Amino acid sequence: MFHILLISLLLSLGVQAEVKKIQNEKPLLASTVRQLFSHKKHEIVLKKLQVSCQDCHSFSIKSRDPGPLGAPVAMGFLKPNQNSCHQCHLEKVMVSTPSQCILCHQSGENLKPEDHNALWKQQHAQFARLDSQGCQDCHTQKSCSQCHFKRDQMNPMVHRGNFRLTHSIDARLNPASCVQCHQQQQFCQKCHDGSVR
Amino acid sequence: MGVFWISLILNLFNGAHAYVSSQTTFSTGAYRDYAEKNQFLTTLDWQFSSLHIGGSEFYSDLGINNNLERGEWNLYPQQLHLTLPLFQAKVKVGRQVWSEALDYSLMDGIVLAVPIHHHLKFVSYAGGLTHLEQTNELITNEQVYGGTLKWSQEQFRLNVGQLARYQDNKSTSVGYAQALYSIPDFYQSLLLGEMRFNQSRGRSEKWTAMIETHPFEKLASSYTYLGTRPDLSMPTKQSIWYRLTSSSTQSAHQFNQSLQITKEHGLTLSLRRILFTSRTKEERGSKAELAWDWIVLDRRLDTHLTYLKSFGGEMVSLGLNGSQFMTTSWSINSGVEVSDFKKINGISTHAYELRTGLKKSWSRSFETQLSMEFERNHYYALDMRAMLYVSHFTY
Repeated sequence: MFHILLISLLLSLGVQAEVKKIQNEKPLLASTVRQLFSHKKHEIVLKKLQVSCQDCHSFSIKSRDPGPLGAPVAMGFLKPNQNSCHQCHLEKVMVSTPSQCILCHQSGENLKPEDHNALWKQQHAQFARLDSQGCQDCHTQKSCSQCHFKRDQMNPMVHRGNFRLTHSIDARLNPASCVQCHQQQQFCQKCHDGSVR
Repeated sequence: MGVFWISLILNLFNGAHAYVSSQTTFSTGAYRDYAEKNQFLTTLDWQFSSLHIGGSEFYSDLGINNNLERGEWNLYPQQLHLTLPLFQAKVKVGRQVWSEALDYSLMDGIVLAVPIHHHLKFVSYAGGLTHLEQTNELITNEQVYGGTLKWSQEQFRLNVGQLARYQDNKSTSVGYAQALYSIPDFYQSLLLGEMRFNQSRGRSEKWTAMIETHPFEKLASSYTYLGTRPDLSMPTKQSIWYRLTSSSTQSAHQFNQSLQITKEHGLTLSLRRILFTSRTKEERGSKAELAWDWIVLDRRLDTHLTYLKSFGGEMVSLGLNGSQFMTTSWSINSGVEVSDFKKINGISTHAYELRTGLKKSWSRSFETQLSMEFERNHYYALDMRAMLYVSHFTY
């Protein structure tokens, strides 16, 4: 029963060196922009959204030598800034990979804000109240409902293990906490009449 | 549901000019109930976002659940809203997450956010609060109306607001304030407070104060006080089970001390003492917990040792949870909980639970997850439930 857990633990302990190395790096791209971004693959989407060339590329820089024989403007000046990608990809796109950040970046870890540390899970609610817009800069609305509103009767990950057996002790410790989510009386009865577990 | 149909029509006619992203998840699982009968559940979750030119957006998060054994069908419209830009302002209409004051709920209504100044914004809202449960019934008979002024400037944030809650012609007035001041890498303080006043049920208050300093990576101390009266939203006629676990007049003190040793290691000591008046007597409860969290890259490991004592019994519980991406496409998560408890109904025993799951991303638009749960306790020598999730993404 504990084999999977043990394997997982050993794998976790075996990667410290790799971790230290990656943490000291900047949020580098996994490849060059030229390889990551394909005009051809984005063509339909950009057309749908009526995104024009000028929305990403700045053509305001002119050649020092005007006229048809003048030297062309170096390609580097025509590159869009990183916000061009983020304007569509952050908030809006649901991606199946570990996170949409690593579609382009080497590691999602280096992109995390400083305060998203080991204690963040306990603290995030208080900060989200003050600045919900800040959360939406990176997270889709799915992120909230996945834990807070999704009713997964088979796999209620909100509560810890053995909660079905010990919830009465918890409930009597802080009765107000149960009714914050479980407002309906039927919720209690469905289990206590023996039909659901 | 009007919002849904309007948005559907908008999508049909403007489909060529919308950026669409969705996630569809089908899940199924089986378990044995206490009567030793097998129960089979299936759920279909669908999240859909459609962004239109000009900034309007439609978002829906729907779930359809079925218990095959009992022939039960339920529909969970968790979110269903339309966001429209209105000059510099933004209007959001429909079922949405509402998190003003110290509430966090679903609301069927309208939210209007108007920027007044570069640092100042006013958010007003009106609607009915919605509580979703695993039944067909929805509770939507509580209305909220109010507004919040939000000031945000460099290291300082301040939210101040006032709202009114109505239910069955009874009203509760709520005033709230939230403030944050921080000096990066040195100091951060946060204060959240809420005061409710109801003519028939009296005053309730809740406030949290937190101070963070950075001797190692971070040292955070917080104190939360909760003084509540039975909420208006609770039904007046209550069943015995509901009455036992719903609130009476209550005051709770909670103290949290967290030490983040390095960026990836966190140690938390949490103490809670609660005093409340039940229908028969004054009750007291205590909770003490020591937790250690380790998060690094796409790996997470956390463990806790918890002690609980209340009218319902006494419990000591030790838990260990972990998750890890083994490759970019395979990930595993596992958790084990061992509890020793003694309940007021005379049950005194040990219980063990192991949860584990394996997720595989087959492509950028398709992933599966298999989850298992094993239990050993006074009901079962060994019990198991299994769940399968299949997700498809479009973007």
